[in-house]
Amino acid sequence: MIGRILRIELRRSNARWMALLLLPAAVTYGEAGRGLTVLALDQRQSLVAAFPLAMGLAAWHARRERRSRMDELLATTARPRWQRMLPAAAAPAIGALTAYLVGIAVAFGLVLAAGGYLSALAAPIFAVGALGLLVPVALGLVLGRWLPFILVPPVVVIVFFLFLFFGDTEAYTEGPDASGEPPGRLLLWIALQVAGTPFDLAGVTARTHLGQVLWVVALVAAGLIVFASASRRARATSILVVALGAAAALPVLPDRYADAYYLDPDATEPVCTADAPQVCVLRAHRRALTDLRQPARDALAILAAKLPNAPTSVVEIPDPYGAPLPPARAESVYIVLWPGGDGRDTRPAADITWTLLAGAGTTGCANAPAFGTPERRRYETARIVAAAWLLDQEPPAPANPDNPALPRRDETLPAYQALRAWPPDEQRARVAALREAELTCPDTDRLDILIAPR
Amino acid sequence: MRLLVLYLRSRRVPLSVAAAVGSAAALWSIDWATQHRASGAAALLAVVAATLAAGPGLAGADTNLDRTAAIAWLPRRAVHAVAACAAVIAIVAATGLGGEPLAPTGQIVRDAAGMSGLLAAGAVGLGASRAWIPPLSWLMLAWTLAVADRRTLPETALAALTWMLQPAGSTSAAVVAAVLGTAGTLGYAVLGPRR
Amino acid sequence: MEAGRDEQMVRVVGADETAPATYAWSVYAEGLRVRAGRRMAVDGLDLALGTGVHGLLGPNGAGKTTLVRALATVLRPAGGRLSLLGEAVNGRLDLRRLRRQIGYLPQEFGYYRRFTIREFVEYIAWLKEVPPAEIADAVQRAIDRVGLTDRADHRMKTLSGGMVRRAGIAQAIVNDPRILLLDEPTAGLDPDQRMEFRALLRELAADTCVLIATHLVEDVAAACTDVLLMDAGTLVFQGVPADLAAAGGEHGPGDSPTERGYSEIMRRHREGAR
Repeated sequence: MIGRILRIELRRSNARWMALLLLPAAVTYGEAGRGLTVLALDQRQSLVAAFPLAMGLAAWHARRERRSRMDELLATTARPRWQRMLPAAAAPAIGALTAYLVGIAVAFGLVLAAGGYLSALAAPIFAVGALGLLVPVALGLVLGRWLPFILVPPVVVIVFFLFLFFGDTEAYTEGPDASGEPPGRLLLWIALQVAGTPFDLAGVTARTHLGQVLWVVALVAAGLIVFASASRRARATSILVVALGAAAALPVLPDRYADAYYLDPDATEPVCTADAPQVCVLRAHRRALTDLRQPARDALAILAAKLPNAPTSVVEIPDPYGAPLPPARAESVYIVLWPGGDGRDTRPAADITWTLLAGAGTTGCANAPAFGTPERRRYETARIVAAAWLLDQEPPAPANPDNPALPRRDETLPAYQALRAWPPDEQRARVAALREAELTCPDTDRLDILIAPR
Repeated sequence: MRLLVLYLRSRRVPLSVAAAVGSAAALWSIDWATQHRASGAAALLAVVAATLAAGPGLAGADTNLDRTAAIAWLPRRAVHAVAACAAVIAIVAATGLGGEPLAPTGQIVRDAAGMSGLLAAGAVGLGASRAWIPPLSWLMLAWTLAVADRRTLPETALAALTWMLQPAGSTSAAVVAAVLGTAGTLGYAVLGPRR
Repeated sequence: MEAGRDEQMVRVVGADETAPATYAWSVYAEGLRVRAGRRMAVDGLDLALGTGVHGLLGPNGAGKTTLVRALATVLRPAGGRLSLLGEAVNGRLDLRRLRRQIGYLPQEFGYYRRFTIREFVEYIAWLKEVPPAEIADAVQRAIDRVGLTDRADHRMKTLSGGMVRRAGIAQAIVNDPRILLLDEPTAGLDPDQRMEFRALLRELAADTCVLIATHLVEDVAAACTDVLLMDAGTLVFQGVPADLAAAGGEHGPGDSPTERGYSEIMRRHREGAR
């Protein structure tokens, strides 16, 4: 019988309108070529945008009895209020979830069509997000029951602001009181925001999922209790439920927001060319292998021709986002790729070759001078000059003239000419010494290695 | 004067004004208490909240009864819609009297005009009690596009769709808001609320 | 309503109904007082109703709707005794068992516009805890009895005023209640439908206590086994319709014997009160 009642509720309530109206927030507009995880995280980020509309529509549904003037008749029926209210609450919930499911299906289809990487780790991200959408539905039902409807839309907007505001990680990473480290408790606001891990290679830890699920379940349960119960005492227990939820979720959630993410081992597995010299990309970026192959082999050929102990492979590593790079190996050149929307790296081949040859085929040291200092500019200048020497071209102007860390042409060109002033054998030895320094990372000044007199 | 007061009371305008003022005050206080970290969002949402508070006043208790009245509704509805928009602008801009304004006045005017147009269109299409749906729907769409990865959409289309989130100087945003405001208000004045 | 159906309507009987009746009256009230807003709308009412159709007449503001609401357990009595089906209502919190056996049609009948008639009556049947296996049959029977069979799957918002009222009667009888409370049930019904409604009432009179609050004196005269007159919160007259008609003379306000009787009794009561 409850099934039939539920079917009537679904057909005759605004559930289908909820599904339709919430679709624009559930469908992702991101770059499907970058993989399913990116779309899942996009959908989580935009989840908050759906809150006001979901709350408002649920509140509208909650007013149905009053609006239809059925409340008097319903007061004389036998069934307790909560049994009547739960199927009524299920209708907007199912409507919202349907919109979300369509969004997931669309995301899946887009990634399939674009040939992006289908990560299994996207599934729990989607699932917890769907659960999170029930929070505004429950809140909306509560608002709709207790507030006169003229007040509901403004209150919905204010609640939205509170969600936006207190869940914002940007306050910690930018602005006057930026301490740099968003705390883990921000994860209670359900959205998953950018924090220190490349989205296309990321997974979210099980602890984070569990913590968020505990919290969401507590919130939704509390909302349903307030909506469906008839007595004041029952409603008071909802406060207890919320407190329990927070008490359970906070210890489970990680301490730092960035710890919610980890690198997906399947996505970061290397996919390599079959023939030598080997060029490897991460599995999630496998479509970019065609873009990397030729420039990588050109760079390796140049290094083999001009330097002793040249590397024999090019390997892509995940963007460390400020974390230390993996230790350099003499036989591989590391590179970080940022594939675009279709999974391809659209940089010109010459640019890729240049990046590979910076620092004579190295990625830089963890103990390099800090950004913005003059020592850093010397460091960067040395790396650029090495690449210029290998390519037998003058150093170009920096791509981004406003970036204070990048040396300008009036620094790199004189250094290049100073290097060229040495005899050819000396030039080769110095560049090889630079490479050696970049591999072992001593505390010496790299520019001195290149141009200072011995 | 007495007739005007009766009209305002019949449309529950005092309650709408109280709700609008309360929302603007609430958002302003949260923003002030947190060192103006999100003034732009607070300004926009204050405009949205105040506009939505004006929604139920766009129709009387019985729209059929109103339709059978002998007076000319078109100019009166037009005045009502424009006055509501002006009130929203005044209320949100007034929060600036307590110190720094939440956002430049031009931005407030633009957002209020666009949102009021959507509200009026909602009243025409869905009835005054559901007029809040179009403004919130567009807000949701714009916010989704702004937050999520949206490099798949062309730049101009994006600016037009997220008009309410654009900074004060954006011309495409101003154009969209103006079109929405005029079309919505005109439609509401001519057609009146539904049901 | 199919006039002339001679099929016996079998009533679904629950377990607690086969137990011998331990009460004398379906509705029993002594000194009942019920508040409506700030007014004490029912003030010192004594009532004893058994099975049969009881018509409740009275001027506006007499407290008829408040009394019906109190009997439907919408309002809690402010004083006096009230027992329904032998169970005292005062101060009791759990009225579920009673509510399963009550049917109520309010004066301002609200409904979910989008539901079809069948879905609406089914929903109310579920709310009244009709056993799930019997709901479908009970709903069909109720819809047939009010004559809405051919419209059963139309949405309620497409119905005219009279049909909505009949749908309201259907939801009130779907659980075969022992007490049926109808507030202005014939509002909006055309004369044919009113006659069919009276036939339905006669069927129900056999085993249900029906209380009809109405302004239409002819309905009362034609269908009721018992008439009650209320004024200013108290009962002024209780008796068979013939007694009411006999109370009025040949002359006096009113276009029918019953109306004349009504006016006469009211006049006497008000004069007596002075």
